[in-house]
Amino acid sequence: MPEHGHENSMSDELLDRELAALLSVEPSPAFVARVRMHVASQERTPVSWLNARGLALAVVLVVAVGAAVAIRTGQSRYVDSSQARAGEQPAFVIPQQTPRVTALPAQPSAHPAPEVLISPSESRVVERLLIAARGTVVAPDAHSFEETDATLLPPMPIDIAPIRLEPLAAVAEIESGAVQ
Amino acid sequence: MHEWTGRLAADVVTPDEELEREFDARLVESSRLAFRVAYSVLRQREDAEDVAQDAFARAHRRFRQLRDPDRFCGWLVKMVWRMALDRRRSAHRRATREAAHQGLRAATAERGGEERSQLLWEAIDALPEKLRSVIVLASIEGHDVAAVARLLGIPEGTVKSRLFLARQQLKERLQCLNTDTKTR
Repeated sequence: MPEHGHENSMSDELLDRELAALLSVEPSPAFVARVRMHVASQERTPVSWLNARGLALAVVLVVAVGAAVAIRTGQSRYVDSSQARAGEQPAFVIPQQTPRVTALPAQPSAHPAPEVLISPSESRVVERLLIAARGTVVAPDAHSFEETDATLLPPMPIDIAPIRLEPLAAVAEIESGAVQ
Repeated sequence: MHEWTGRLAADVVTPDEELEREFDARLVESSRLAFRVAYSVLRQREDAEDVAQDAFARAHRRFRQLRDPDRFCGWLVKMVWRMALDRRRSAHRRATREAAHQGLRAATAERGGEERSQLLWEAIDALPEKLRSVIVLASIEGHDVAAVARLLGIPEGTVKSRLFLARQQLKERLQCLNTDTKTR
């Protein structure tokens, strides 16, 4: 070790020598053997290491699958409940202002009428039925008229019996002067 | 016939066995280097040996990619350095070390040689990490500039400039510390 107090004129060689002496520490004689044993013990335990990793991976997979199932179940419940709600209300709402089939004027009522709710297929069937039964003309403003494939039946012949009017007897008698 | 079969058996070496032999050779060659690098950071034999051992264990796991001797040593030095720094940064160990450090300092204050070592360690600790790694590696086993450059994977010119700066800062730091010690 060099003398102290020479730092001002300390050369690189002197510093290097000091550093080399400082770092010339030897490991214990059993160090290499210890490392060999450590490495060998690591080699012997890859299976348990793999098992641990495999177990962790399996846990992660199970959690992921569980989460996916839970999410799907939640979604289907939501759909079910919304469908149930939809079941309470009919699928289609036909507003009262646009009557489909009838040409009759809407009856004014004190209470607002409930909305008529029928499915499209049902509405088509009802239209056909009304047309066949009444023979009435579907209102031209019924926008669903073109949509329906209902065909108009040929007009039914109307038999009207001839009306014969008999001259009133009293008038004839007056004219003939029989009545005074 | 027996001689021929014996020779054949000796020649038939599985790749794994060959790898193990190579690794053992590297371990013997570089165990001191790894230990000293760890010691330069930790300054405790047991800790340094633990860190070097863990680094060798990691190197063994990746030895297929580290068969080239230069690559192996460079990787090992960097790994040991990093692991030693991590260990040193551990708050608990730092507290323990500082307590031991202060005790050692008080106990060795009167002993000239150890006091000088203490000053040197303090000066090395005060260096930036880039300069510290270069000066430490250059001081271990007499590594020249080219060897340090290979170990750290940096150009020789960078090593030279860092060595110069490290020496300058060490000298300045030692001068300051020496003045402080004398005035105490």
